[in-house]
Amino acid sequence: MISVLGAPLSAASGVDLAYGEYLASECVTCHRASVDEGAIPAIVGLPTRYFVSALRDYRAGRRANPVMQNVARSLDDQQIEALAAYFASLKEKGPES
Amino acid sequence: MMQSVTRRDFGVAAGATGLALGAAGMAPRLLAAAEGRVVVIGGGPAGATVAKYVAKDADGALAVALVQDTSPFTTCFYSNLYLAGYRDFDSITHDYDALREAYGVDVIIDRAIEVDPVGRKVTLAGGRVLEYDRLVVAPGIDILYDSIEGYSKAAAEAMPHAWQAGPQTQLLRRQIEAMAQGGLFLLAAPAEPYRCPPGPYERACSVAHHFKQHNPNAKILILDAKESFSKQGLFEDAWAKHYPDMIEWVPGEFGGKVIAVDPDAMTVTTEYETYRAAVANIVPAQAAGAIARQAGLADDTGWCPIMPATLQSQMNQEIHVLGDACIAGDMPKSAFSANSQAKVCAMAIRAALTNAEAFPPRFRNTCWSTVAPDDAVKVGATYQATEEKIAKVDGFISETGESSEVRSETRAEADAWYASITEDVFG
Repeated sequence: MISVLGAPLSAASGVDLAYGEYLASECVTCHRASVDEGAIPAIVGLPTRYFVSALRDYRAGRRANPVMQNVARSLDDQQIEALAAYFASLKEKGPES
Repeated sequence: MMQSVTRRDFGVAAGATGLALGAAGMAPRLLAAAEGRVVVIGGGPAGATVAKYVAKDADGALAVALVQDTSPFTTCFYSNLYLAGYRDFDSITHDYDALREAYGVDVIIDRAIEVDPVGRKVTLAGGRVLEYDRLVVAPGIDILYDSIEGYSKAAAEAMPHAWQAGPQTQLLRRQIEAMAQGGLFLLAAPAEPYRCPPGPYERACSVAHHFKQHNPNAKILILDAKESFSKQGLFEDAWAKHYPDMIEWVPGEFGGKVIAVDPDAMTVTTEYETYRAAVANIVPAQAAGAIARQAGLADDTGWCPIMPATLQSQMNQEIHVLGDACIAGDMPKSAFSANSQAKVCAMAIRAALTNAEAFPPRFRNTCWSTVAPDDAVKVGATYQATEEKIAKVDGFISETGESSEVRSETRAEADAWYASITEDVFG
């Protein structure tokens, strides 16, 4: 079966969760792990496909917000996938992880 | 001799001897004796972040002590919003309970008075001596009172700098509230480099917001040692839009540089003129916190040169300097920068003392400035470590003439960021 939205990429595709966790330390300065703070949405547990397409859209300027465009321009595809896999993996463990 | 034990290895070992452990009733963390000692001086956004991330990610493999002179900690970032009346003081004040309880950081409320780089020891004012394998020095700034004639720690009780948050911030707020109708608020801004480049100009907005409601004929005069400043076009636009005829800025070349003050007469003197102020907010030149300079980590500028990829001091590679105290190349002295540097530093320390993997360093900064209750602007950039410095790669800045919707969103984003970064640092 093809994996569905939200399925972890990590084991199957070899995406490095440790690398994703390191990259994610940059995200949590603004995106809280536990609470959706409104103006800056929670990103923990986002489906990987949504996460990847959102970051690519920011990088291409198709999605507005200069901070996120700036962040996304600093990420290559592999880094975006590592981040997506890491944030999706948090959902599996639950919000306290 | 004890072998290096990583989190994953230890999990396996504990599983194999699970029964014995259960019988002894010992927590696994206690068995994994710390392989190294990390001491952090300074509990602000640089120091508290590095302490938390080293402790969290080393998971017991490293013992982390954080030395901080006062607790709880009031953030200098967002203190302008307290001055404006947008926030109360408690909302910008944070304790170290989570660092202690959730991450096992040994938070010591004391003052570091001496670093012995040969013996690798830090002596505290209270007499304790802490040994380290790696030391992080993140003391923030010291105010250089001597840079303005007549200014001193005592003079700051009459003419607050409020550039280190706490009682100084509360004092300035009381003075703003008590100011006579139609009085002059004078703000002396320093030359680069200093903590929070847009800070003085955001502060002018904050004070103007208070005056607009309570003291509409008051004036704000910014006497600046510089010829230009961060987000200048955005701030000047905001001053004209929200506070017309209230704020005047005098650059250095037109006599903006303050050279002397008299706190008894409440006068402020530049090269050309002497002003009498109702409230004088004097922000002098700054340098790395004293302990960094005493430890020999600063150069002639008063700030600390570092190796860009790891934040190691150029003077001593067993010591890392980060946050406002270090020379971070193109990165401004901001809480966001400090928090970003701390994560790179934490990774470098874990890689040096355990067999943790080190990834390529990444740095970024974003600074939001609130110019009115529903109006904020922002500037940000990504940076990379080169041989010479932390160099800017790519950045952005808000534009003049943005819609009120965009500015309102930016304003909300700033509050969401504050909630998030303070949770990342202290939570």
